[in-house]
Amino acid sequence: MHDTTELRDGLVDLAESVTPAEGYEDRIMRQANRLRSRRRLATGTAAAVCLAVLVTMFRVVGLGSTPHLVAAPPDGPFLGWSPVGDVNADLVSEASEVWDQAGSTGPHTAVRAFVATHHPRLGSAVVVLQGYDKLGVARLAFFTGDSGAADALRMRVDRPAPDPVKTQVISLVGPRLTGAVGEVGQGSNASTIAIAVAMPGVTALRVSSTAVDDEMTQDPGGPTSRLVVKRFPIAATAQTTTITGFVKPDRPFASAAKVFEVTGEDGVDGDARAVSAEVVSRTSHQIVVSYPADQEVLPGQLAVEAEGLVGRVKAVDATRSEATVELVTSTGFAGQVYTNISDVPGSVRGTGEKLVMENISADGEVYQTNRVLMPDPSQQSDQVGAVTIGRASVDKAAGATTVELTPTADLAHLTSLFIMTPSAD
Amino acid sequence: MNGREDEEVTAFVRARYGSLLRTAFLLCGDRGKAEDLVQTTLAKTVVVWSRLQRSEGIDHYVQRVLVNTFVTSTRRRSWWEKPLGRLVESQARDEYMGVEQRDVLRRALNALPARQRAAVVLRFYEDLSEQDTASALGCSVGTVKSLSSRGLQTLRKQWVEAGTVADQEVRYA
Repeated sequence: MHDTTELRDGLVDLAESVTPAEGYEDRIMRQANRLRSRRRLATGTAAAVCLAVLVTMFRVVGLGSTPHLVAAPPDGPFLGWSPVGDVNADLVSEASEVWDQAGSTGPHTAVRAFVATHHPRLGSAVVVLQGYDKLGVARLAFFTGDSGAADALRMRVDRPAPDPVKTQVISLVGPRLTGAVGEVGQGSNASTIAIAVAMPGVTALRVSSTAVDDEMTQDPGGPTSRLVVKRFPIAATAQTTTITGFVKPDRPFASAAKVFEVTGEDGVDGDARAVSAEVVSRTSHQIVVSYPADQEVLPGQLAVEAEGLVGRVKAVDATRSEATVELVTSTGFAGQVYTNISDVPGSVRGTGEKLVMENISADGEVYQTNRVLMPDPSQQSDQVGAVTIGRASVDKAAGATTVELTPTADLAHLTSLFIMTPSAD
Repeated sequence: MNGREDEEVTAFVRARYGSLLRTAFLLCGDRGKAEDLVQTTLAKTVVVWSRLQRSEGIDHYVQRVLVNTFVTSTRRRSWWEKPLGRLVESQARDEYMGVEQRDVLRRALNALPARQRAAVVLRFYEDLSEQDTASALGCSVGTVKSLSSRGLQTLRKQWVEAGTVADQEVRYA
């Protein structure tokens, strides 16, 4: 074989000797049918395996049904919640003694603790107790340390026990939780404290305030994840603080689901009182709200919601328990304001559609999204409980004395709000 | 598969079986294995017949399946097909020169590695271009050139050796 032609001839010659045997068509068709069956079986098996893998993923990786809270059975008139973390018996004892001595409701019986611990973020103890007063009424009380008295426990609020079936979280928010009773914290303690305790099953709590761009979420699943203690600037109030509960399934990569979102609770001695009101009617410049008949509302008081300032009470119809609130954007609205943190003063007035901050010093710096606060006349100072009226829409130009603001409250979709009234004390 | 497709498939199998069997014989060097190889190739083709109808080049597809099935079968020998020993065949004596030359060529082909054998058969028996051979083997044109060249070289060597042996056997007979 010296060339390819010879090879070709040789191959043809070799192959020519092979001739087909009879019956090959049937054999081929039978094998094709076997192949088809095998492929169908393989496809079915693969589909079953994929389904099994998907189901396992859903279960293990967390792509399951939305988690939900299972209410703890009530403990008579009390919340049947288990305590958060370890309960310090000495603190419970001290708090019970303080509770018995405060006012004329003691002695308290069947006292049980939700929280009794020293909290590093508060710098003192925090205790939350339930118990019957001497009249047999179920009560709930919050206690924190007094930094001016070697952190001796002080009772901050004593409320009727909340609905033991429907309640998902209890909280206390106020600027008077670190010093003597009724006194705003001073120096490094000049801050609003938010304390919240959630029902068992809640794996993480978040507390946020619209007085400042700050929030805190507890690490989920920890022994004290149902308790959150957070310091906010002193402008924060219960009405501008939001507490959110999450449930995270015990599965890797599972995302937490929000199970409640509520406004903080107040009631500390000395704090301004919030009167809740429902929107009855509205125009582009004002709204009419209805408030409980046993409450007193006066012109000049601020109307707020969680996101910020809604307006100011312009007129009150005490006989109908209705108040007319002038919206912050209305042309008649005006008042003194200052920027948050940088504390640049100015005045604000409504333009009909938006807000303008005026009379800013030429060298005052106001940047886009800076919060602007309006002091609350119901509070004891311009700083305590000041409410966010809006954010700067743009950077203030150098040398300019005005800047446009965007209201933070959703004025177009309001259904309820709070009217801030002075403390009863 | 409907009746019309059945007829088409049967016609295709009948038309292509003979030529495929001859190519398979050159690849396998054994008639029984060649029949198995063609049967498997055509069965695989029948299974995907509907899909092939919508594409071009059924012949190319069949050729590729044939070569791939052959190469794969030489790589993975089934457990029930383990060789028990190496049979050393002595050169058959054939008084007919043509028969002897076919036998020599068959032995020389059998001595080639599977891919070299496939390249030689496709290039010099099927008369495929290098490009088509590369397509059937699933490799580059350069690889086809290399496989064909080495295959031819080995064949020539075997041919020369066989001729020498034959001459000596004739001389000393």
